[in-house]
Amino acid sequence: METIRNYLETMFANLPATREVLRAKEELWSMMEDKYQELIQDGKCTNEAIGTVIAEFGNLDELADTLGLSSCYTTVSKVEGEVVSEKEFKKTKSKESAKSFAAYTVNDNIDLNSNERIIYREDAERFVMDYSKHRTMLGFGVMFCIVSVAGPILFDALNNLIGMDMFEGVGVGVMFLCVAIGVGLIIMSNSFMSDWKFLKEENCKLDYETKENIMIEKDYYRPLSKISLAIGVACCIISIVPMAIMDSMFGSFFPYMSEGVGPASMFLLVGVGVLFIITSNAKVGAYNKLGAVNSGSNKEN
Amino acid sequence: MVEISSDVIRGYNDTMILFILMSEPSYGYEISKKIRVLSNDKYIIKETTLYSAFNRMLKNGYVEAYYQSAENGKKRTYYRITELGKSYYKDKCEEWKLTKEVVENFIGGDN
Repeated sequence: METIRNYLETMFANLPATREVLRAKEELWSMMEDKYQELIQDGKCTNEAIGTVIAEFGNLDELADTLGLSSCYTTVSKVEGEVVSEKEFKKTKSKESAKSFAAYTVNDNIDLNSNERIIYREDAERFVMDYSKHRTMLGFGVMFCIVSVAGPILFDALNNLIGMDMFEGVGVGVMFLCVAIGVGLIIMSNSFMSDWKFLKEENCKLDYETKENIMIEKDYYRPLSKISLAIGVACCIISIVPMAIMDSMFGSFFPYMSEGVGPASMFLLVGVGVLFIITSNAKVGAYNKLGAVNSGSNKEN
Repeated sequence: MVEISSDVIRGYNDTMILFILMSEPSYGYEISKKIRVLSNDKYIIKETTLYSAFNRMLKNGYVEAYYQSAENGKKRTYYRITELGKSYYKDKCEEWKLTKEVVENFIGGDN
């Protein structure tokens, strides 16, 4: 019986000690025990019984899907009775069974040894998407706020062009409209992150495969992010240019251009520039945040 | 020696378990034993396969689980079929009949 128990423990040694995993281990043990008892009762000798139970056990890959684990946890190779994992994993000493028959909840993903919540690949991918959407919406929101000033400038200059005051109110109205849209977008952008509050509140860690993937994807997106940032900064810097050009070209001949369109386009360019700057951090920022989740807790990496 | 294709049998593990549960609730090893006996020793289901099936069917609502203590005090997880499970079982029976009918057309006879 010891032998069988040891076999089971070894098979499960590399798996994170979540409730679901422990539940599986207990049930499998119960089945193996029953099978062994009956084989002995049928008259088989201990070695034969043990051999049969182990041979008919199966492999953990089947369990990987059921338990929601990536199969890299369960790929093991046996070397002379010793189980050696193909990749290096954090070895968790399995605890004794979780006695309660808990419902299938989010809590099943907690590593009971270190009390951390495990984040798998699907979660990480969703996080990156949500974070990107959040940054994009935030970027647009800020852009609208910045651009809002262009409204009164344009319409004020238009007033001067026509010589009447009819557009003054319109300009201010456009400004407030833009600010309203902008602030609305900024507030809505936060809704994307509401699912992920737990990342700050709870202790979390990434599973091994996810951590590796994050590094790869971050490197892939880094150039794009730098380009976006460069475009953004460039826009902000050259925002002065249209105004300067218009000023020197049209000067006091055509004040609509130099005092209206010129300054307005400056704000427009700055707005677009800031949008690029904010969104440049979308993907890479997400990966950095995920990476930071692990660094506090995992010392063996 | 010809053996059962694991791909084919994988599709019917649930069906076999549900058939056994149609008569009465049962627990892990007892179900595994009944599968072996009913298949005339031609199919021995692995423990991991069996557990995966239980887990899957629990999540799909085809079975329910509960604890029961045996006479010797051992606490076992018993599984019981649900109405949804019964209807799923019927569907799988129909599916098998259709599959058998279709494949039979392509199987060479012994003559």
